[in-house]
Amino acid sequence: MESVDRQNGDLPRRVLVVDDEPTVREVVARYLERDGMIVEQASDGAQALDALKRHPDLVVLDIMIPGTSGLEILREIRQGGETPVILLTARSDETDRVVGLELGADDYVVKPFSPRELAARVRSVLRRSRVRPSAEKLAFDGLVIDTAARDVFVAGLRVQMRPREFDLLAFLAASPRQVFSRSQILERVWDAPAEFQDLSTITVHVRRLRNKIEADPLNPRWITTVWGVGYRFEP
Amino acid sequence: MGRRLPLRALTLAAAPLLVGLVTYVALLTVGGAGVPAAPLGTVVFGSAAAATLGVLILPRLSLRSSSLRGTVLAAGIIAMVITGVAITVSSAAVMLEPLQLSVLVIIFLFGASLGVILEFSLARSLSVDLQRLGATARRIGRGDYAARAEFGRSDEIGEAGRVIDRMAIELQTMESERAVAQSSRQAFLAAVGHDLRTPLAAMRAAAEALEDGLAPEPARYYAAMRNDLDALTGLVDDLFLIARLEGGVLQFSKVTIDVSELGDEAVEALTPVARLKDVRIRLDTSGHVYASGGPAELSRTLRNLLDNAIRHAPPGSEVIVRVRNEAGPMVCVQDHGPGFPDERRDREFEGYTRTDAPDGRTTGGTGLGLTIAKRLIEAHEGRIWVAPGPGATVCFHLPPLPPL
Repeated sequence: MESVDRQNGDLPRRVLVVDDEPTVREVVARYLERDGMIVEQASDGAQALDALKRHPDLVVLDIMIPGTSGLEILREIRQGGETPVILLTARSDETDRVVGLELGADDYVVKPFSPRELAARVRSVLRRSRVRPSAEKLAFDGLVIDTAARDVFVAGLRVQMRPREFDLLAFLAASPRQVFSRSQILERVWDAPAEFQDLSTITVHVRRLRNKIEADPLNPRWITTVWGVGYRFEP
Repeated sequence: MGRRLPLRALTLAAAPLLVGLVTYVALLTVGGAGVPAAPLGTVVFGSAAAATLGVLILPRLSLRSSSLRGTVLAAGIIAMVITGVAITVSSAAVMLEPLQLSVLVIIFLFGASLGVILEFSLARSLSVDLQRLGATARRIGRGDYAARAEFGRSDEIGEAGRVIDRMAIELQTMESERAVAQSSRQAFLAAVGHDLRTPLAAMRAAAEALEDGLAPEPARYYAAMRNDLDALTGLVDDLFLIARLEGGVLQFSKVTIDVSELGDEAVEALTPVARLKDVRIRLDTSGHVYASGGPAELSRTLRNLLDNAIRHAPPGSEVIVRVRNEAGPMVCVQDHGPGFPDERRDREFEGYTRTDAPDGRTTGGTGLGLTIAKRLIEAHEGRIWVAPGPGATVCFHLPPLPPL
């Protein structure tokens, strides 16, 4: 994250696209270039590893590529820092997808995907990694959210959070008691129109968040469900 | 048998010698000093040796014999000849009167003949039953699974007959199941083939029109092609999912999951679709209801059921997703449509079902929704069924969360 944060907002962002299918690479590159990004393409593991030495701002990574596996490359990227990664996976690669997210991928898109959707995700992830943290601290009884340091403390103990989990918690906690539907959360936190992201993304993140911050995740105290409406943060 | 169990065969071969020894001792005991021990010994042990040879050779010869009846008859005759020779020679040794010897031989022949008749009749019944067993097995081999041996024998042959009959019954059941599967598979392939070809044909026509500059509004053609691609993608995804479910290779990790949340999510996700059809959808839940399951899989199940209900709901009606905890999550999705036709109620979860016109594609359904839902619920060791009307209600129940 630091490596991208220090960049000036006016510099074009550099994106590495790794996929073995030339048409897919070319189309994705066109869409990203239309958004003012500089795109480098790699068709296999070796090329990808070589291009990573030039420190792109974001990597679009196909899991199924010749040579080194996409997950290997992801591991490599994570060892080198916090460069955002969006995975391209086949629908049946559920296990790979889960492993990918565990390894620290920021998002994934299922093939066959809409290039428009992918471009929107890339913009969304880059925008998030460029966000200047407000020096605010949200403190509740037993839960502290430090938006500047992006740290969460439950009963005084620091809790490890993925970027999106933190964003979601900070967003809900910033407006206590206000109910947000899943589509609203997608648009405001994920910065993605609902048609490009599945609502289950929100359900999954709320579940993970509850597992991390709730004393009894099965009877949540902080993030409650308002049936038929959405989620809200209880101060 | 002789080759596989040499020990048993050897014991059997020693039996005539043992019987000969006992006979010899008995003769000596009965006759006392007046008995000609040497000639009698020669006769008894000679006969025993001949019988031993018979025990060793006959089973092997019988393998080559074409008739069980002939073999048993031959064994009887051999035993009779050995005994006859033994009687004659030993009678001569003890110097029997010619008249006594004649009577003895005649009575012996009489007894031996009765023995042969009895053996023959037994062999005949064995042989008839074995032939019937063979004929039954041959008919089954030719695919006539209705063939039965059906004998009342309680011995080994009877048991063999019963085993063959049981095998035939199992084959018959498998065959009829296979026939049903085959015909539903053909119907399935025909329906899937139709739904694959329709968008392909449309795309091909549109692509050619665009190439030849005959598409006055290219944007409309491109949008139509993308819609067709979406339909194809959905269908291919569904087919793969079904193939993996049926092959038992779908792997998903189970987590503790709130079925009410998934219902809530499904309602929100399908609200736009319902709005297009002027259908209202509503979640009715008793609160958090937990199960252990795959989040994506259960979410998919709920959406399939809801999507199916919306497709069949009349405009202006309401579809309800009811979630309760009844020793595990119990979910019912109810619409106020025409309901399931009675004759299809049990088959609604099987294969490719599409009750409405081919334009059902516009709501995103592929006709595989209920089949997939059933397979997914079964993969969770749950149960799914059609509840009685009015309207159509599909319910499923999942096992409760195991205690911590």
